[in-house]
Amino acid sequence: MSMHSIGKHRELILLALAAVVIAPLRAQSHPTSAGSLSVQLQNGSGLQMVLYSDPSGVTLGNSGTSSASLGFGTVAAYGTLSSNVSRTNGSGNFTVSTPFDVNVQVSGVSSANYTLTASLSSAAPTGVTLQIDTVTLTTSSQSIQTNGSYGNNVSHTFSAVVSTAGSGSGGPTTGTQLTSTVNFVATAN
Amino acid sequence: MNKNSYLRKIPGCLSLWVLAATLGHTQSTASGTLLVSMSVQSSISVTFVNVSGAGNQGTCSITGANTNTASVNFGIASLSGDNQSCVSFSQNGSSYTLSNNIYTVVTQSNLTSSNFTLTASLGSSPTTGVVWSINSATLGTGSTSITTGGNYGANTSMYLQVTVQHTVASGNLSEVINLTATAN
Repeated sequence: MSMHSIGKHRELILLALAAVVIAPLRAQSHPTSAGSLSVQLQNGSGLQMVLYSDPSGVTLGNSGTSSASLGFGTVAAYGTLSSNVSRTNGSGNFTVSTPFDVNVQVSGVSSANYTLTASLSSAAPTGVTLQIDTVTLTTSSQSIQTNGSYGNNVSHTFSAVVSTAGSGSGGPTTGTQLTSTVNFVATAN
Repeated sequence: MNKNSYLRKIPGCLSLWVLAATLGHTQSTASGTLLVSMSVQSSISVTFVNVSGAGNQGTCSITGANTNTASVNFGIASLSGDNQSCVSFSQNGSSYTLSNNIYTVVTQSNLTSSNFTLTASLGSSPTTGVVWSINSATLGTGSTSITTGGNYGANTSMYLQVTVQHTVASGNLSEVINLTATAN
């Protein structure tokens, strides 16, 4: 072996030793990579209205939703009425009533209570006046309650004042289904 | 990034904030709908009433006034008389007759009817020797016409009588009289 080859051999040995020493050191350096996620969220304000059957009232169709139905069934000045429908007879009219509940939930609004208004989609049937808590409903917005309590089932009484006059004499059409749609709006105070 | 690119983005950001603020405001209301339905039916009612002077002879006071289920007490009677002063009493030796005015009011709703017919019937056949009548029309378990052109809302007088023969054994002679008003 010449002196030149001996030198080459020594260089290789030194390189091998250096690799053995350096490799673990590199492995122990734990390389990391940073990242960040920016999340945008805005909590919007919102109210939700749900109509419920009142324990003392007529069972609503779709109770527990914001679009319910209330069927008085067949009503008359005299005789039997549907369950949980009450009646008072007046002069020239009779009134059938039943309670129902309104529940308004609030989120993201700094509001102590709400105002409830109601209106009819179209004029009430001839000979019939519709009321909520004695407030007569029209196609214009009518104030029903100005301090509704959030999160509670607030009972209201729905009444239909029916004229005792005959059909064609100012009274309602008899023997047919009379319907009206009541639109409610709850506004945070 | 040049100046123009910033200018192009700023209006976009502003519009988002304005929209968010607008949405936040309009959601402070909630709505609901309630579909209400009913069917109005014609009806007619008959109620018993106490008129002025009820309790005087000839017009006993009734219990259950202003309802359609009333009662009147004719007391204890015999050929010698009746213990109820409000009951008119008469006897002819072989029978006695008790008389009393009973008043009803018939009302109607959602009808085109100008008057009504009133009929009456007994709840059960009377004891032999006992005859019940209203306005001189003898009552049985079948329907008997009392009034054919009654006026709605007015007091309608019925002259109720019961005649008891002396052969009838002592005992309870109570009867139920059913009235039916029908719109003409």
